[in-house]
Amino acid sequence: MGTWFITGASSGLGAALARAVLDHGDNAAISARNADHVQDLADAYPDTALAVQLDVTDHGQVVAAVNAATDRFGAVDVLVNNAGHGYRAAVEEASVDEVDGLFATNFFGPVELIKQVLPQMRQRRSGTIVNVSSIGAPRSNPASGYYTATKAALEGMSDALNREVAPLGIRVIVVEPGAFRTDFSGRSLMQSRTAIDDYADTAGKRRKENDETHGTQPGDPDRAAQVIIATVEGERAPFRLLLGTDAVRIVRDELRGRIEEIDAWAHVSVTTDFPSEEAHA
Amino acid sequence: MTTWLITGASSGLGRALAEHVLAAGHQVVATVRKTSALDDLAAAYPDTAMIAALDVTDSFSIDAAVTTAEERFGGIDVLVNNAGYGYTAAVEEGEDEAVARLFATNFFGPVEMIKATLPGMRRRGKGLIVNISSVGVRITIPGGGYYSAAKAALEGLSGSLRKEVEPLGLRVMVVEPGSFRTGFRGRSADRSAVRIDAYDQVLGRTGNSAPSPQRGAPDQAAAAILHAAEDVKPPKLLVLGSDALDGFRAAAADAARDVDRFEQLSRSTDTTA
Repeated sequence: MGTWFITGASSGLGAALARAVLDHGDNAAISARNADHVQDLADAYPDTALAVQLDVTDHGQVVAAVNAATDRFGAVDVLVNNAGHGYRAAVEEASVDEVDGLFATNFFGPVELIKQVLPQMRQRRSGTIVNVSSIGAPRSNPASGYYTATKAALEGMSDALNREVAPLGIRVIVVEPGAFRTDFSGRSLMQSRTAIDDYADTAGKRRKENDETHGTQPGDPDRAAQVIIATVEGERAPFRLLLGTDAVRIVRDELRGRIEEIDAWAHVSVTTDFPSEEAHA
Repeated sequence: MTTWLITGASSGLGRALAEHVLAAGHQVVATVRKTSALDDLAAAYPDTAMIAALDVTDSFSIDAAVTTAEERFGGIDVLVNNAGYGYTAAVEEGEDEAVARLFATNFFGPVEMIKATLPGMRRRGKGLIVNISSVGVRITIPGGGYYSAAKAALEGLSGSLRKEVEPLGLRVMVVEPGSFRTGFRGRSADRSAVRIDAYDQVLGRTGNSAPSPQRGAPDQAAAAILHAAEDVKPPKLLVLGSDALDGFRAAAADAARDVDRFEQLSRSTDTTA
């Protein structure tokens, strides 16, 4: 039996995963900015669940939360960085403060949690870090530049982290969900106060008041939770775990498009090498 | 004749690009933190070169430089976000302040430059934004997590930006250079003061392993960027160097293989599955 630490467990994918992990018989520290929102679930599993108050942007709370989980269960075996929110704005429309807040929650928060659990995972030579990204990382949509940036940053960091900790027995998995039927485009989505007319047909169409995807997303959060558990427990795991037929299609499209473009310009790419006899820096 | 604004033009790729674009007969606003670094360029091209002091982490200096450039040359046609530097640290060794500084220069700086330049470009209905990233986004190495994160962030943002500004007549091009013979490994590199022994081996801090040779020629990179920028349809992504090209293709092939291998699992989360 292992112990999971799941952030953003009060709703959506985080809540589904927390329920599934506890149902499965594992221990789980389930965190939310307001611990009251995860208390009911924790009460349903009094022996194996711990409700934790955690704003991932608060360093002191990160330290306290990981310590509380470790004290209660003896270890954190699986960290799931799931807490995060969206932000809709054309690049030009964004406010610096809102973008700072977005990066604090979606990127720097996960980094702090990772730094907090790594010492004990290294000591045991085992552990799994699951960073929940988004299909928005490989596919940048209008109005999602900053959100995409935070998730792409999380993935770039995870890639290096994976190579750093694999020799120490620790695994890193990036989860890229497609569109799931959660409240993401409801309360987890913020947007800029400013809207510039020139972007009405691009970013403007994806502002909350114009977004019609809510409630019709193809992904089932409970099935996603089962797949995440199976992957964490399994022997074979991809570095990137795509969730949903839409995610598979989007990643294939993006990869194909990039390769086509690289090939089309390859004759220019290769003109920048020094002649081989000079290649000694 | 077009007008370019190139950040980080005191050395390396930025300097090579400024020289190349000026030699081709264009106007260049070359920005640097210390303007004396480009006295020779200003002297060689008195009518077409303008050297501007600019710290990309200071929004006032950004606004001042962009305004001055627009007044002098009538508008900026090509913005090149080139200023940036490296930072080596295992993720666990990252220092909060150093990482914040890295993101300020490598990500938020370019964002502010873009926001300052866009109103003029939108008004004129044309313009090209060139964001210099790194093939390190595709081929991430141990110790490069924060650098890759900041560059990946810049690329992610660029993708959305492109979809927002293309209908307005503007273009966005990301450049991913491989390893070039510049000062990047010297004065453009920072490293964490925190050192955790457990990472010594994977970060190559044990032996005296020599760094791999840098195969790229900055002058030729500058020529390639100018060539791509002048195309009727500049590429969304321009990889520079055969090392970068090989690495990019290998990474894409790996990613595609993983998609295939785990496809059934990925599809099993659909509501209707």
